[in-house]
Amino acid sequence: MSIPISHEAVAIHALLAQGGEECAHAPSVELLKMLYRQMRVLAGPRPDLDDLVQCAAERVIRALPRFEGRSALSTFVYGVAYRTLLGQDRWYRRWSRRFSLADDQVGESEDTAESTEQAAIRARRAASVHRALAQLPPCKRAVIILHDLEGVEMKEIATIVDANERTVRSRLRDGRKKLAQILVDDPLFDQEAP
Amino acid sequence: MNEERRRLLLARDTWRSMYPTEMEVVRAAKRIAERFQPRKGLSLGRRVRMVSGALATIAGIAYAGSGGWADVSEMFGRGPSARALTEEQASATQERTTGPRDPREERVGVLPHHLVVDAPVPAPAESATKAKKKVTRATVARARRAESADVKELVASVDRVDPSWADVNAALGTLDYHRAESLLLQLADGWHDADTRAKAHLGLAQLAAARGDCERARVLALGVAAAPGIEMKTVRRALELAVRCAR
Repeated sequence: MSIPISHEAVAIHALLAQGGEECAHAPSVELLKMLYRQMRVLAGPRPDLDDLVQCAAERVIRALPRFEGRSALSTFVYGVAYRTLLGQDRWYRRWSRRFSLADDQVGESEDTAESTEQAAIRARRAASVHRALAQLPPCKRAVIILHDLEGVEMKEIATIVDANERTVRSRLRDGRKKLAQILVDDPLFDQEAP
Repeated sequence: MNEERRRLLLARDTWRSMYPTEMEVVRAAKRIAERFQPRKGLSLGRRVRMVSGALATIAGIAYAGSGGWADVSEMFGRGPSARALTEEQASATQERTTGPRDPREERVGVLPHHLVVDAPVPAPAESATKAKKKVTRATVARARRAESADVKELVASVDRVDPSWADVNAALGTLDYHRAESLLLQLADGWHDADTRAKAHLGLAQLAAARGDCERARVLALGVAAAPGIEMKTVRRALELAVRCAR
């Protein structure tokens, strides 16, 4: 029985290797751009974002022969990015039990030094959103980001996080409740705030 | 719209306003793409170097497996026998070098008058120890072949009665080392018990050391030390002799 290969699978083959057989292990810039966007969505701006993208790209290259085209290519890549992030977070939790960063810049945006007051408030608010999301468990955070902030469909999210749709809905409900509780205490999200 | 929903919507708007620009994404993608450098193809010279390196390693392992390194390391005075000493042997060696001198050790190069196995071992010739030959495997093999012929000759020259240690002592007493050696060879035969054979081999080793054939003395002594089921004092003496011969 032959495995059906979608047009997207063929396209990703083309995306992965642009330099012939010698560069078959190197992903294209297009794939990296897609991965960078997705990883930035899931992980937020953080110092090790490039490393995460690189790690996810390596996984995508390895996992591509198993891609059967049953989901959209972006969903498949999203799933790889999600699992990479989960693995990294697990490692970081173990690591942080023994060590600590000397200068922890996690969650700080590069744009915090914008000149105008409005932009500064927006940047602070964005940082506040990232901090609030960082307080959520990884599985709930991913569901909230993908559904509420990115607008991805529930079915696709279920594929990405490799869970039942009902489980996803449950995580979404719990995550929203917790996020709202965190944001209630933040003055940047008050009604009077600009 | 309740307060909770309002806050969530504000968070979503904030989130979307902070999307990375296309330029930022492209720069990041190029930065990460640089990490995936294509592998260098193997040039002919590189392949030749790799193959020759692998062959040299295999040849070295094979040579070491055949015991060839022992001869090479002995040339530089670092034989495996020197490394194989236990702490007990090392302390015994230390005692021998630092303790009161045995007057018999002064008899450098002199053959022992009595070879009683329970008596202290006669010291080997120091000059012989110093004059270590650079023995190659070919010369060792040649020497062993000649030696086995000599042994056959020696055994044939002596009457085939069952020899005793008294006979050996008598032969040594009359300075007939040729006969003593042949008697020891008979005692070292397979039909004697292990302890007798070991002592006979030790006697042969002592004779070889006294003759200045330190290489053969060391081989015999190590053979005695490695033999199972023999008295500990025989092992100790054999090891002492091997240590002295390895110096």
